[in-house]
Amino acid sequence: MRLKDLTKIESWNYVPLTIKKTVQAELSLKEDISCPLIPHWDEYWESEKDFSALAAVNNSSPLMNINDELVVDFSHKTHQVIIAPANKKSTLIIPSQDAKNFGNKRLDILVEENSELLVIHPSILEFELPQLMHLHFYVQKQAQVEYVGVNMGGVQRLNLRAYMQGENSNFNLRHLGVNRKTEQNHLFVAMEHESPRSTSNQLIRTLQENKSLFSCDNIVHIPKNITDCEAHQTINSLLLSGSPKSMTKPTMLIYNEQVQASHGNTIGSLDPEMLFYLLSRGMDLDSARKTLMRAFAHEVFMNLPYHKVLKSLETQVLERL
Amino acid sequence: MLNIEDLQCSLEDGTQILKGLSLQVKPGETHAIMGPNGSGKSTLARVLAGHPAFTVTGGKAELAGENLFDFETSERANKGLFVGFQHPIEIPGVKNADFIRLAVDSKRAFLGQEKIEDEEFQELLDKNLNMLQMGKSYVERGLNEGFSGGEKKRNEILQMAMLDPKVAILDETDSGVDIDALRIISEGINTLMTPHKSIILITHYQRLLDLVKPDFVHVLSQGKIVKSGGSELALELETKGYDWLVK
Repeated sequence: MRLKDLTKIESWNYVPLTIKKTVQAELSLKEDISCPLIPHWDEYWESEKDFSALAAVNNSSPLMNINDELVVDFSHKTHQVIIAPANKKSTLIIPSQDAKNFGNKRLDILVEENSELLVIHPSILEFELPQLMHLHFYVQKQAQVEYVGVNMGGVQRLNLRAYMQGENSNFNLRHLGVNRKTEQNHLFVAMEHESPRSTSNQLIRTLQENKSLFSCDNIVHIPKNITDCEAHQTINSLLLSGSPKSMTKPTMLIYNEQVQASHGNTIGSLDPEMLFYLLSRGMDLDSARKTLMRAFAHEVFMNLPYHKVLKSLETQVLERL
Repeated sequence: MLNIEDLQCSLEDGTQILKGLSLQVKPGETHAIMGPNGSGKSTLARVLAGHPAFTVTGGKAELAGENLFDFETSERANKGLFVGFQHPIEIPGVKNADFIRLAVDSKRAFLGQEKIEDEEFQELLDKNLNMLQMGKSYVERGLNEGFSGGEKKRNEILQMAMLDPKVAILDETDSGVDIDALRIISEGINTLMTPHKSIILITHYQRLLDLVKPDFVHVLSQGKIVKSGGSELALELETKGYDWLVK
């Protein structure tokens, strides 16, 4: 399956952001660009001429190939289209998009046949101005995506859609949220199984305290004619102190019986029996609590391919707990 | 070493579990506590360790002359009390080796000592793993994660060996353990026992006591010790059961 086939995607909830004129002036935008990857592109092109997504196409090609490893630079391109080339292992790093103003970024990522893509997406923010990130993956035949996202701080929303368009395509999602004070972490995930024998696994964990807020709207969709798929979805929220809120809505829309699927959703506090066990071995209460929090978070990073950025991210995140 | 006098405790709802239990354990002694289900054996271990589900309503327990109930759970452990649990808890995400090292360093910090050096820790760990015939993979895994019953119990003895307690209370260390594992665990306990330490074995079965010889055997029933004797008492219980004592 190639780019032209991707246009069959019907769902589209993206609201483009009008960028500042100063930034716009820096972009040498082409008019009458067509981008078949993006549904309803023409409509947006007409209505939002200054839509910064065009920054992605300000060069001769609207697309950017990952050459082994790519660090996304959103400084002038708030909407980019990226290809993970066929038959290759590659890594995509999406750095934190902290800003003193409202942010709205989008990546469309085509994961070609037989490719293996590791996506490392730390979103560690200081400011409380809302940052929106849209990630759309189009996963082709026998391609695999390992997505690891960390949301800490700020007010942020991640919209992640994975379209498993090829047979035996696979999407593994790991997400860790850490929210303190009045921070907010909103997550919208849609796993669209569009081909037989596609698989998706999700592990979403959040640690919250004070008056922080986490919401998760999570959909797995397996249509009637798409059989032999596997989909697993786990959402665990740990409420540590204060009066944080966690609102999770796991949904599995499965329209045939030839699937393996599971979902689990828990909200709770630190396990007192685990705490007691650690205390009985001489750890003080603070160390025991931190050990359990780190263990909870650590599981998000377990059994992942080695990458130095990922390892560093894990270390930094666990140290901050 | 451990002196318990008229110990009484209850659950939050007021249900009394221990109803005046007394026990003296001297250095170098091994005691076995036996008794029917629900008699309070595991409660005794948990109360001494400081489990928050229980409230001490009377009596005292001293470890090396200090009132245990003046201290928090972690302090009791660092002062030399070790409880090997009947159902060791699984904590995924905490590597067993890291956990053991944290525990060792906690005790050293409590005693005003420096953290253990890498080499010293590894040497000690390897020695104890060998003693318990445990492969290195056990300490690379999550704490008790996916361990069989026998592996969990061996891991408890490994922790005991690493922490070098004054008094070890081993709660049904023999349950869920096959014959070979029981032999290994028992040899480990015997190796770790010194004239300066004390061990309390909580068990239902004679088979553990064949391998770890107790100096004293006590029968606990309805929250009290109703009979004490030598190792021959365990043999008698094996043939006669508990009915003749608890009626």
